[in-house]
Amino acid sequence: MSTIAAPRGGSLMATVASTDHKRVALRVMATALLFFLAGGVLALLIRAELFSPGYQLVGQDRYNEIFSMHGSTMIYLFVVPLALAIGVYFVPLQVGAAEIALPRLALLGWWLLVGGGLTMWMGWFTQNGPGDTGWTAFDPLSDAANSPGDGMYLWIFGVMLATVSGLLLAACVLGTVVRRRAPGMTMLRLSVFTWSMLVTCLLVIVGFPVLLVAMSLLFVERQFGGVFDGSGGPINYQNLFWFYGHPVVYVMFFPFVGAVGEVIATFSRRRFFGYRAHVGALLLFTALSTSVWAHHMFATGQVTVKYFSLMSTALIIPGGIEYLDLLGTMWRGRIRFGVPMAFAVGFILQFLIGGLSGVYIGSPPLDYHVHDSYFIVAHFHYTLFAGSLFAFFAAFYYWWPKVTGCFLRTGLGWMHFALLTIGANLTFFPMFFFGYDGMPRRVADYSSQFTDLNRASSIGAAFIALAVLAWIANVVVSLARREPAPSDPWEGHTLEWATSSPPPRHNFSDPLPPIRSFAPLLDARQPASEERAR
Amino acid sequence: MSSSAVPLACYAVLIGITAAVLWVWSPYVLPSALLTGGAAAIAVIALAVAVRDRRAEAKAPGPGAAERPVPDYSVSILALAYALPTMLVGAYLGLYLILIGGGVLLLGLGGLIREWRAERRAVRRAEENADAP
Amino acid sequence: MLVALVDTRKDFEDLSSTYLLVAIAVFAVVALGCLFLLLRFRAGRRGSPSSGEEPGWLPFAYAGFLAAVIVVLLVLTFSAQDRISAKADRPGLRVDVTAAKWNWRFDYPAQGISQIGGDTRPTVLVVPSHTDVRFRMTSIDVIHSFWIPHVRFKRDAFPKRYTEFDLSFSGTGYHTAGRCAEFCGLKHDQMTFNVEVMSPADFRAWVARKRSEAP
Repeated sequence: MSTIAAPRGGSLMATVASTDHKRVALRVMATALLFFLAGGVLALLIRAELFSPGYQLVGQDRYNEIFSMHGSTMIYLFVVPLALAIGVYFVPLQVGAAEIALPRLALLGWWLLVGGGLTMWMGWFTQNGPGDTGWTAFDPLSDAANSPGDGMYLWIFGVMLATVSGLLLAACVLGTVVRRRAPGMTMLRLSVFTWSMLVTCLLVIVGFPVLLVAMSLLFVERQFGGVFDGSGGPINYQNLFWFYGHPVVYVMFFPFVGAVGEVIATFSRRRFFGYRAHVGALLLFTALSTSVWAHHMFATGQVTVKYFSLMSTALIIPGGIEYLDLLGTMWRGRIRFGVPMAFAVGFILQFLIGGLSGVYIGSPPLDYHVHDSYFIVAHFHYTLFAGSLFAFFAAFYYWWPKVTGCFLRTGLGWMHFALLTIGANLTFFPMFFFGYDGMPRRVADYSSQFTDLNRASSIGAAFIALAVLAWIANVVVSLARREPAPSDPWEGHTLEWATSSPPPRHNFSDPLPPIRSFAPLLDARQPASEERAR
Repeated sequence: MSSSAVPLACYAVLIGITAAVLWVWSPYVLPSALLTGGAAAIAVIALAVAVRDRRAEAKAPGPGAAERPVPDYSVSILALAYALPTMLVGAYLGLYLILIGGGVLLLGLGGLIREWRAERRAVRRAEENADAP
Repeated sequence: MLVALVDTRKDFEDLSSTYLLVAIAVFAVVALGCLFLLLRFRAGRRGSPSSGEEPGWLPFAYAGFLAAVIVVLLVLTFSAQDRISAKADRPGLRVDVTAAKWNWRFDYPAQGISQIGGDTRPTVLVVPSHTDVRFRMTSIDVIHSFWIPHVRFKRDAFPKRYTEFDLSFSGTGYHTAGRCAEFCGLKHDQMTFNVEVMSPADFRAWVARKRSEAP
């Protein structure tokens, strides 16, 4: 399709300058996963320090840097880019496109992520250390008087670059859905996953620019002052920050729930249940997600708590419908319970714990007690770690054969799953209890009454580390052994399975099957009498 | 739903509603302004997408965009990838960095313009060849 | 002033029990549902996969049911919220709270006394039981948060602003802990305070003692 005589680049060019969306996506994922490991090491340091009250490993100063960089790395440099990258890889394939829209912007998006991450982490080498005001960097704590030093500036720049990276990647994915759909691919024939990516892009477009504004204002405040000085300054910062800060957690959720939808449909051997309800629920979810941000600010006493409580609690509706669809997809299926399905079911149950605790804290009187305690830490780790990351692994095991052309080992996969399930729950479930009982977050020292449960949590973290090692081992061994995978090893439903594994440079070398629903390959496999025109 | 503008419009309408409710319910201005701004931004994008979809349909009935061939590698992007962070950090570390980054930015933009013009030439050539008997 | 208007702990406990019950019930239903589905519809059992119609009304009916649950939860939440944020017409005691990096100061304007801790001694907040205590709080530097887990309540302290809230303490003669709950820098984890609840009579005696001690 490319009629430009491309310079016959060597492997260096292919590595750093390729405009192939599949390569760019894999580079972004690899970068994000490296930051995951770095952020994970920080997590292990946190849990090691918290094994006992008092200061054993690190002092308060270093500890504050460690947890701030842990959260910042995981959110800005790992989960957000990972979520978008999965879309960058699979949306063009699933809509039957030969190319992503604006491929050079995607390439720039990858490099700005690298640049942003390095800039942020350079903070460790400065005199005052890296950004250490949490991943939220509230003013006045983050202003020049309270957090002097270069590291905080590098943190701000790192966040800005990573945020621009996210905007670029989302623009490419959205552009692909708008401009590159194959003939016959109407909007209501987009796959379950592509729909979830579409709404993710909308949240990025609405929320990420506001973070850029907040960071720019924080920079000006630190250099010149006068931005957040007045009595309304700090609350203004929080409104700006959380207007991004809530949508971003849905950016870190939607792609993964969409992927789980695909996994469950494929491994239940039936169409996804309630497709239109899924589309409607996603749109409602997205609108509500944009409208709830001040529930992070209930304890300030400076927001209209009832409005934001109503909007937050209303999230039960799209959430419940989404769950109805996921479970409904298993109904009357022929379920093959392998590693991808195990991770998918793990996601369903564990994300639910996160979501239910979210409904709990959506009630201001309850939040007044547990806000800024380990209850909150438990809540967001259940949604993000025991939730989205489990869904990521479901997607990983599902799509790995397509991307690499080989299979992952099953034994190591089960070990990975078992260790991660034990680790995630042992680490984060106790946090609900000692948070409720009065342990605040972002502390290196704590009251001795919380010791036993903290120890359980720290032991859980060791299990997580083992799980990650099992996963890395699986990747290494599988690539070494190269058990070849066909183009459609799972009898998938969507167009990415209609091409080779891995797909060629322009995605489809053969004509596409007819597109008459959101599951074209399933339609093609079913006898004509059962086929229903959608 | 044939136009990709529809979900965008739905989203804009929905947060327009939540914004309207917030204006009535809450005395604080900034939250309501943020939500309204978000709704407006999405509405504008929805409009742009709707116009683009209408034009694309008029030009070639049935979907399937004529794709502009993008080169397989883009070194110019690497220049931008270096320039932008450099200029940003230069805002703190000093003008010299902004100038260095600015220079590389111009080089990168120049390269991009060359790539873009080469693509336009290739598309025109392809169209001429298609027209030729 | 012996009848307390605000009882944050009771309102919290009642509401929390309800929310917890709902959460456990929902989780149990979904978990059992998953188990049932995985067993009943596992590959190898009889019956071909469904390609049939899904009832179009089902998501709407379910959404309606969920909306009803939401209404119940919000009615309970909003009424608890109203009770918690109520302010007594004439509070039994006023305490001015000042948060700073990394300690607390409690002033009793009507009594003319102050409580302030030191580097190793947390400040002690002394309050009478069964009394509406009106707190008026500010920070002199960054955002802090005044959290007394025992009464299930916290409120952020912002610089250049005052925030007011009422709390009451039931029972007498006990000590409990208070913490800063908004990350405020280096010694955030040491920014604790203690709370001592006395009977109103003991409290008056304590005030008298403090006033005679004052320089």
